[in-house]
Amino acid sequence: MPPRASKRKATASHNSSSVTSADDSPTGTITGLDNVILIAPSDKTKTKKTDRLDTLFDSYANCSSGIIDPEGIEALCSDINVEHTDVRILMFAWKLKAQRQGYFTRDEWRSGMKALKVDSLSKLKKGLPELEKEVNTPGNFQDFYSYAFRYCLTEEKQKTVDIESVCELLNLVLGSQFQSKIDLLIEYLKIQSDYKAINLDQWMGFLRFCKEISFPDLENYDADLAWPLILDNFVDWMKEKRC
Amino acid sequence: MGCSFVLCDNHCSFPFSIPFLFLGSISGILLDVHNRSAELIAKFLDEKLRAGNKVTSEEDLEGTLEKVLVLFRFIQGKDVFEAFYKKDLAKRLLLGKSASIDAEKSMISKLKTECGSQFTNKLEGMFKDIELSKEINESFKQSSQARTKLPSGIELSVHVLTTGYWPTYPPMDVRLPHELNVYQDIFKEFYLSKYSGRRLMWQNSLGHCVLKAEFPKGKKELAVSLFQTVVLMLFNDAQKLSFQDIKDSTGIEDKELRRTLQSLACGKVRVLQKLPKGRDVDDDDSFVFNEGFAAPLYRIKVNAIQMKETVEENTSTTERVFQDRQYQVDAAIVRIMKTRKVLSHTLLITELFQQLKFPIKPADLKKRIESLIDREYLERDKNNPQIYNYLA
Repeated sequence: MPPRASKRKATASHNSSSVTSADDSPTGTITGLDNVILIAPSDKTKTKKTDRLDTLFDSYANCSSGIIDPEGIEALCSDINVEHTDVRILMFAWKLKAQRQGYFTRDEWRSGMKALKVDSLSKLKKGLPELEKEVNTPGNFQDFYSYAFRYCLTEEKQKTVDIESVCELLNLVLGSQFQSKIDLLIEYLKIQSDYKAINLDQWMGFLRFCKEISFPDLENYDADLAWPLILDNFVDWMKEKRC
Repeated sequence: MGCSFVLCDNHCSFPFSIPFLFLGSISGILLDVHNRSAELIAKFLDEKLRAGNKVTSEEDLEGTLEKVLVLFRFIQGKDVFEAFYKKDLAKRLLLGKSASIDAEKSMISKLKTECGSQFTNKLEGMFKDIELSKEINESFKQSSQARTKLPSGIELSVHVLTTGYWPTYPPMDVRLPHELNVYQDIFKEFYLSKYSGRRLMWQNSLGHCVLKAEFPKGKKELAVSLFQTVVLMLFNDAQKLSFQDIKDSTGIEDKELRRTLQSLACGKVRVLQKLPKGRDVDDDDSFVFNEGFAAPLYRIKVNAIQMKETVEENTSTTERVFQDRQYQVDAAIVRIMKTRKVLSHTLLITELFQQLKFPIKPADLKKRIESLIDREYLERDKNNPQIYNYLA
């Protein structure tokens, strides 16, 4: 894709200033040079990179809103050959600190891609395994896990996520690490009727549960401790199932 | 020697005689299967304190009350007892069904000694209202409003109840006949002239009347509930009415209306006839004035249904108690956390069990804690999930 070099023609090597309004002096009118970019020599490479990122952004962004929307994300995903439902895309959103599910703003894009140290599609694709490793470090995983839930709170003041979506999300973010535990938890969540939606507190409890409780005996689970009630009920159900 | 025994719900013949066989050596715990012993004990007392009960002498009644008190001590969840006792006492007082006011007052003072005045303040308030209402009615009779506006031959008496002392009655809509509205307004005018700045709300479900009825086989006086009155008065202007007609004219809620019509047309005393005949009131039924009505007595009571409790009444009484408990738990949690600022889960639970006076399961306490986390009164500590932090 051709860079916007044409617009950079107005660089001045001697002191220049942006000139935008028409001057009506009879001897030489300057009739508006728009988009004059002031370039200091040392910033050349940085700007090149920002430009590349911007260009890349623009290729997926919605023209009228200036933001990458779900369609754009889908296009991006197909270009890097990753399903848009893949957990790595969620990790990408986390890295971008994207605020709104299904959308990336220019700022989020710029800072995220820079943090990943990539500025092209191929580099992004190659950087995904590294990203995965980064997310899976103990320090980051809890934060990513929490982000994954909050990313689903699309409505204003929304505090809970419906069971169906929670089950999908659990599978997506914890499935690889805790497959058997998650399968059972999902089975339970679908058949119980006490809760129609899950809140962040319960969500975080699920992770703690998977990390701390021994399976499938559940020996070290103590309902008298501060576990969310939904997990007490899950344990009861598991114990009944065994009999 | 201790013993423990289980109270069944009223499908067994528990209610009225078994416990007393064991009273010689009780030192056990009442195992309350289904949480109903408080309700059943209140019901037992209601039977004893009602007019027309089988106990004869005052001494016997006193003795019985004493014995019940022993059982009362073992009830966990005395708030359920209080709610039922209050509901039944209210009915007895308002419908004039107490066997003996002395016995009523004796029971209250026994409960006061047992549980403290906080328990019995409201109950005592109910008696005060009854006394006060007597005085108000006396003044009303002498008042100018009554003498000039109330038609002669109409006797109107009103119980004025202080909200808070009495059970909460669900508002029951009814379209009163014009005359009855007028009488209510006359009283209201009188009352507000004496006590300004008060709000009066008519509790129509508790009203009762005496109607003079002219049957071909003889004149009668019928003691009826207000709802029964409203239905019967429709027949002053119509010979036959369908269920739907009656429903539209009276505006009485469906279930309540069916009960009312049943009591008038399907019971022992049939002032109305239902077509077709049968025990239950169906949508397509019609009703006619019972031309052939005859009875030995001049004054006939048809309002026994007001004394009967409905399943809905009992369920809503219990539900209200449980709802109230929920508020108490929430308040206790916030109070404790506000003082301690940081507290572990197990310590919080221990404190709650110490402070709360009714039985509650740890799971229910967890539910309330989670609700308060959701409402951002507390949070789980980020470093130690066993600890709660108070959120100012």
